[in-house]
Amino acid sequence: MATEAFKISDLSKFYGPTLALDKLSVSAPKRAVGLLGPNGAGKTTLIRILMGIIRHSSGSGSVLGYDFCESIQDIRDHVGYSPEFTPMIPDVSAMKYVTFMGKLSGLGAVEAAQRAHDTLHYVGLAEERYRPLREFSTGMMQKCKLAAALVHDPDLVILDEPTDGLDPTGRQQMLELIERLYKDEGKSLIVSSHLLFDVERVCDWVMVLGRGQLVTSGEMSNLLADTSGMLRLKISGDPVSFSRKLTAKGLEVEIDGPFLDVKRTNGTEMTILEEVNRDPTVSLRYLGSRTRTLEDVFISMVEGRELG
Amino acid sequence: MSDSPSGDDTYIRRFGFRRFTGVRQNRLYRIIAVAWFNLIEAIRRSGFTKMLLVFMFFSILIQDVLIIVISWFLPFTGLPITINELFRDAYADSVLGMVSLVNRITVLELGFMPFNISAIGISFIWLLLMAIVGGGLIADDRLHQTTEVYFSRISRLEYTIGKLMSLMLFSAVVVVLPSIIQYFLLSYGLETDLLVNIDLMFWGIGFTLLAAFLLSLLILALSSFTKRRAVATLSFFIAAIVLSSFYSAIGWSQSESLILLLDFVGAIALLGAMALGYESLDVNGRTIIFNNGIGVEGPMVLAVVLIVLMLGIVALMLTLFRRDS
Repeated sequence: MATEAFKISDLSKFYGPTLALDKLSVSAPKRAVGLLGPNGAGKTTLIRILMGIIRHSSGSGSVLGYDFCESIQDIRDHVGYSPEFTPMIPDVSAMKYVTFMGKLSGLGAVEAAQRAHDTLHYVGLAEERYRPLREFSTGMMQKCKLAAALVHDPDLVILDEPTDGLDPTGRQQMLELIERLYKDEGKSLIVSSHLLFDVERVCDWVMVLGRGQLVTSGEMSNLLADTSGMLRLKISGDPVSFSRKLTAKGLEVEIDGPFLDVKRTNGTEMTILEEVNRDPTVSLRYLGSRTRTLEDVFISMVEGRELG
Repeated sequence: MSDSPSGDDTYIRRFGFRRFTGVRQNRLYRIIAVAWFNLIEAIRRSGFTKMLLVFMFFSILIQDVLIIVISWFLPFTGLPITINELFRDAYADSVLGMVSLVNRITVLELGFMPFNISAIGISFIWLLLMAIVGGGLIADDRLHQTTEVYFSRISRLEYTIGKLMSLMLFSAVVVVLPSIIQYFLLSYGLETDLLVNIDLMFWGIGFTLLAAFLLSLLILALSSFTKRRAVATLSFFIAAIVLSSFYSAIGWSQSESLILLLDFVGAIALLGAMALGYESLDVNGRTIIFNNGIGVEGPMVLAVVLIVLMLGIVALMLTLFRRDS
């Protein structure tokens, strides 16, 4: 049993003279993996190669342990894919569409119909399942795509921009569904999204692509961990006067809005706590490591900006 | 009730997500799923297609009844050929007529014209139905980007075979089945032995299937070039009619004019007649001899059919099987 969702080595892809993937070598664990990158980074190209929809120019790789040159049919049977755009057959009901997708993945007619019912219930389209797809809103169509990706019970689910075009409520529902898939149903996920907050919420592993190359990959918690060695402090009271007091104690302090960032040295925490106790106009609201958002990390890595 | 779901979440947990523990079906099953789904949906969504199908059903019914009536009432005494030969000619003519458009290709002697009317109209309706049903098979998928979900589950070859099979299934109902029924009806009408001419029935099945395959390939190829089903439908139908008309419009002065070869649908019928051993036949009342060294020859007919086959395959290779876009 493979431990990786996918593993690729020196993977390149040319569209005519344009290089979309440049000798990409990376592996992703069977977890909730966020695939990030700016437009044209090669995310969708990578996904389409993994699914055997397009052919790679050079390199090798496997998905769920299946080589994608030799066992592409096994990959297709064990991976669910929800594409970025909205593929549909307008005059067909969601029920028929998902059933048909199940049959294409090798489910028998009865099993496909039963599972189509189940998955449409699961994604919240129980009431709408007999309506033609042309009447579906963007949110309903996103759910229908998810149901189609799940109908054959894949081990790995690849979701390309799953919250694209959704209103806040729809987005919330979709993220909850994706979280449930990972946490409750034990599915491995690859979520490609421009919305960093979405990836930060549902994924625990991140892979960042830029110009067809790997920028970084790793645990979300490691990626978001601050390496600057600063402590973040929030107090009630006047942060400016309190920062002066800390500076007088020999600490390096930066003010960041309502926060104070203090350079961590031996005994820094104790010094801060003593000063808080000493000053009756101040009370401590937060003291801990300074954290970064995925957006900070993304910007610093992809656009080369330094974090403060 | 204690075992009834207490809320939506309970319902979801109970029915929502089961692991699939069954056995996946083989590749052929998936191809048939593509073929059946596309065939049913193509017919279901078009009222015009349904109307044409009904019209075709009655055409075939009338023609079949006509065969029996003619057989009963015509005096078959004193014929220069035997009843069995008449049966073979009449049946071959009827089946060839299903694949003749503007040019009337017949193996019957003019003296037996009553049988000659049997397949008139069917070829037009069949071609139109093929164009309507087949025109959107790939074009619609490209328009709605459904190809992406197909190719994430099945291979391009399976997809293409499935689409081709849906048109073949359609043709099986519209022309292959009637050709089999006609065999029995004509045999009943002329009181010939069913088994003596059984090779003719297999020829009828093979010929109609070949014609269905070639025309399906062409319409699919056209459909794969465009995202607009109307473009594929109209271009196929108009091309077939126009190319078929050249011989009667321009090449009428010469009975063996090579312009006849432009009629690729008619060429399939000519090949069918050749396969049955006919060395000559009538096109629009003029005799064509396949091996007299003048004009239309047997190898030329075969070449036209092969060119049609190659065009269809190359076109599909250029569009569907190019896996870098």
